[in-house]
Amino acid sequence: MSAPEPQQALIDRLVADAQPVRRLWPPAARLGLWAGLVAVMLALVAWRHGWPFGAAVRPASLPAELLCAGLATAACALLALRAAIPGRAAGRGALLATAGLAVLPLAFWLHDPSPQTALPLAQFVAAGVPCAIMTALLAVLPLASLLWAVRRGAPLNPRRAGVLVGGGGFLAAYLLMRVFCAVDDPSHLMIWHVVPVALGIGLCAGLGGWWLARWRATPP
Amino acid sequence: MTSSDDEATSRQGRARRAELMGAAQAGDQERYRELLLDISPMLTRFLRRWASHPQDLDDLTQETLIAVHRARHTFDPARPLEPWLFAIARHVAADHLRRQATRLARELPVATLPEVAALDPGDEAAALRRLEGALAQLPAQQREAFELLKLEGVSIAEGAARAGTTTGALKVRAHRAYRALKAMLGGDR
Repeated sequence: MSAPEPQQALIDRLVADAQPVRRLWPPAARLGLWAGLVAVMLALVAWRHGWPFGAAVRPASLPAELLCAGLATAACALLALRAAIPGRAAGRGALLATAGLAVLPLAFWLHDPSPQTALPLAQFVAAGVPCAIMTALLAVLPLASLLWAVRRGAPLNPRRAGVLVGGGGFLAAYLLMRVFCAVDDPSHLMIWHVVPVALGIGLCAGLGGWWLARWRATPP
Repeated sequence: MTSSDDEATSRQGRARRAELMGAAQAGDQERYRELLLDISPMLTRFLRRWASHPQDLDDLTQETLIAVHRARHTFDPARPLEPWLFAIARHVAADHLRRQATRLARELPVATLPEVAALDPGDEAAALRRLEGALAQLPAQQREAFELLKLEGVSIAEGAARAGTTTGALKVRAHRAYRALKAMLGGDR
């Protein structure tokens, strides 16, 4: 069997360059490792600040909300890991279902808001800024590890992969913050928890479009 | 040969390719060469629809082979090679089309551009579908003028001869095609 001359020359070069490569683990195994990391972080936050389910002041729907957020986090991370493998990227249906799952936690506190008194603006800001900062800080480890895991692959749609990585990392941070922060007021949650997550995901889309696209320029 | 024989041969071929890539991942250069020689004609056939002339087709095939080489660690030998391979080929082809559209748009005699700026750079499949869809919607004469002058790159005189029209008429058709493509690809942003 032979190829046209320019292709033959290229094949010769590629074959000469063919060193053994470390195969990627299956997405489910990599997700398991990543979820383990998030679980350890969750346990540390709960150990430091107390598990919120026993507290009478927290909304009754909090466990269901956390479950939804956890599922959305895992779904985003799994789709991000799959996006790094050619031919395994999620279809439109899976993406829409994940997006729906990601906004579902909002429905719990929008539908059944905890009765809390409105704070003056200065107090509202003073209580919220640390939450936004903590959200960003808590996102660093899950985000960096997921970004690294996806970058190890070959994402064919880097921007979408970036959104999914951002979704995984920042939804994990949202989950941790819902345990860490005892304020259940919807306006606080929307401004200081949800907006940082949305901004973070937007930033990750840009970062993904740039950094995750570089796999074609560099060897594995 | 019966259709069940064909199917069995094709199944064996698929299994063989996956096995060859598995060996290539382990550094077996001979089997890697065998695989690349086997997939090159497949890729050329697959990429033909995106290439306007033989040089483009050759470039696309080579670019895809390089991308396959760089992504080879992502292949799982327990799965068939073809979906993995053609996903990479589609990505390379979409990238090529986007670059080509950028180049064409720069040549347009209009000030604002370009079709590509309206496309999401991360969404290759959508970009590809939009461009193909827009080209398909053009009237036959405009599409022909656009393909002759911009995709095949022939001279206006040669293009007019091949289209059986005058150079002036061909230029008008091509210009209308540019405007229509711009409206279709950029009009919804």
